[in-house]
Amino acid sequence: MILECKDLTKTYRGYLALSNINLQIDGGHIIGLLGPNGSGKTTLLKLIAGLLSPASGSISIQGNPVGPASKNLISYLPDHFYLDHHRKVAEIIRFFDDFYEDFESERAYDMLAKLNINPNQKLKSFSKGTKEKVHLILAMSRRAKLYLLDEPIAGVDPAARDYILQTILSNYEETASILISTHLISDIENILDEVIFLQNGKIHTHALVDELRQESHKSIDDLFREVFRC
Amino acid sequence: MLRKLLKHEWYATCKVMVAINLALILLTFIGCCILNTDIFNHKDAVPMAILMVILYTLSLTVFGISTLIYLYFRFYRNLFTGEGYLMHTLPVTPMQLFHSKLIIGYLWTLLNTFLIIISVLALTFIAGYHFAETHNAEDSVQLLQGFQTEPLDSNNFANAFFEFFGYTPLQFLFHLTQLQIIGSFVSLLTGYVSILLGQLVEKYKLMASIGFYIILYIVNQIVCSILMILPALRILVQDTDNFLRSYYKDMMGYAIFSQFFMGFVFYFAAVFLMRRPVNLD
Repeated sequence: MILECKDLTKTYRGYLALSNINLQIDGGHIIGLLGPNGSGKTTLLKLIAGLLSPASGSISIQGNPVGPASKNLISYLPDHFYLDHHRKVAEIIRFFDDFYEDFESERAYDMLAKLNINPNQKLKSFSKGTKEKVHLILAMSRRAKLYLLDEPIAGVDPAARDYILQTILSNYEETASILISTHLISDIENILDEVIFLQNGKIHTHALVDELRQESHKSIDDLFREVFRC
Repeated sequence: MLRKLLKHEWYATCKVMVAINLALILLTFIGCCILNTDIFNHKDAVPMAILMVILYTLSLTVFGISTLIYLYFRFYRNLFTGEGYLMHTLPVTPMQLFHSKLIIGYLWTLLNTFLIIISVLALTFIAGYHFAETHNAEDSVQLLQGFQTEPLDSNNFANAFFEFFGYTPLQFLFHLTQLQIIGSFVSLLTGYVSILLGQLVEKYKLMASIGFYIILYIVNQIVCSILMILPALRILVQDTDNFLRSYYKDMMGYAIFSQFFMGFVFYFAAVFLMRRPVNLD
C-alpha cells in the first residue's frame, strides 16, 4: 500500500476542513480527487505532502509517517506557482537534482525541449501556461511512488491540457500512484482508474471509475454534477 | 542534506549580499580617497567635513540594517510563503532548514560587520596618516603612540584612553569585535524568532512578526541594561576611586555576557518553534 490515512481530521480556525478521512491507495492507480470548492481537496493533498499538520489521525506513505522519508517518495505539484521566479529553469533543475535521488534531469530537459522551453531563461519571463508546464515537468521528472497533483490543468489551454495529461501518463512508473485534484473532470475522466468524491470534508464516494459508470450509466462528469448539484 | 542546503542558501543569497558588501567596500575606498585630498584642510571645510562624517555613519548603518532586513525577508519568504511549498516538501528536517538559514545568514552578517569595522579603521588610519603629513612630528608621534597595546607612561592618547576606559585602544577594539561577533548572532536570531512567533498567529502573520521583533528588541535591551547596571552597583559597594574607569572596564564583559545569554535563549526558542508542526496557508 502506498498511502494510508486513518481518521484524518483537520480544522482551520474552528472550521472543520476534513473530518475522519479513512483512505487507502495502492500502487499503480490514477485517482481523481473531485469535489466542489472548499470540499477539502487541497487540504488533503497538503496534509499528505507535509505542508499541514492534522488535528488528529495519521498518514503513512509506504509505512513512513510524514517526514523526510515520506517526502522522498512524494512528488507534489501545488495549485499555484511556488518557485523563485528570478531563477533560471536550469538552476531549478539542478536544485531538484541535488535534493531528490529519483529526479531525472535528462527527462526534464527532454520534456523542455519538446515544448520549446529554453532552460536558460528565467521563470519570470514565461507566460502563465508555460510556467505551469515547467512546474509539471519538474514534478513528473521524478520517479516518485506517489504524485500529488493539485489542479495541474487548470490554467492552460485545451491543447496544452492534452500534452500535460500525456506527460502525466507517460512519465510515471506502473508501481506508482497519482492523486489528481481537479474541477475539469471531463478532461481527465478517461485516464482515471478511481475517483474520490469529497464533500464538506468527508469522503462521499471512493470507487473504481468503470464500476461507477456501469452502475450509474453516466460519465463521471455527469455523476459529479448530479451529486454536487447546487 | 545540510551541506546541500548550505550550498543552495549561499548561492541564493550571494547576489544581493555581494552587492551590499561591494558597495560598502566602494564607500570605504571613496572615503579614503577623499581623506587623502586637502579639501578638509581649511577652516571653511568644517561643516562639509561634519556632513560627510554624518553621511558616512548613516551609510554604514544602512548597510548593516539592509543586510539584516534582507536575511529576515529571505527567511520569511523562503520558508513561509509560496517558496515554503518547495522547501517544506524537500526530504530534509525542519532543523536542517533552520540551520542552513542561520549558518549562511550569520556568515553574511559577520562579513558585513567585519567590513564595517575595517571601513572605520581604514578611514581612521588614513585620517591619522594625513594628520601626520600635515602636522609636526611631535603631534604625529603622540597620535601613533595611541595605537600601542600597552599603556604608556607619558601623557599621550593611549594613556588618556586607558585612564578613562580601563583599556588600551587595541584592547577596546578587541572586546568591541567580540561584542559585534556575538551581537550579530543575536540580531539575526531576533528576526528569525520574531518571524517564527508570527507564524503562531492565525491572521496578519507578517504584522505580528514585526510586533514580536519590537518586543524582543526591547527585551534584549532591558536584559542588557540590567546586566550592565550590575558592575556599577559592585563598584559603588567597593567604593573605588576611579568609578568610571572601573565601570567601563567591567561593562564590556557584562555586555558580551548579556549577548551570549540572549543568543542562547533566542537559539533555543527558535529550535523549539521550528520543531512545531508546519501549517502553511
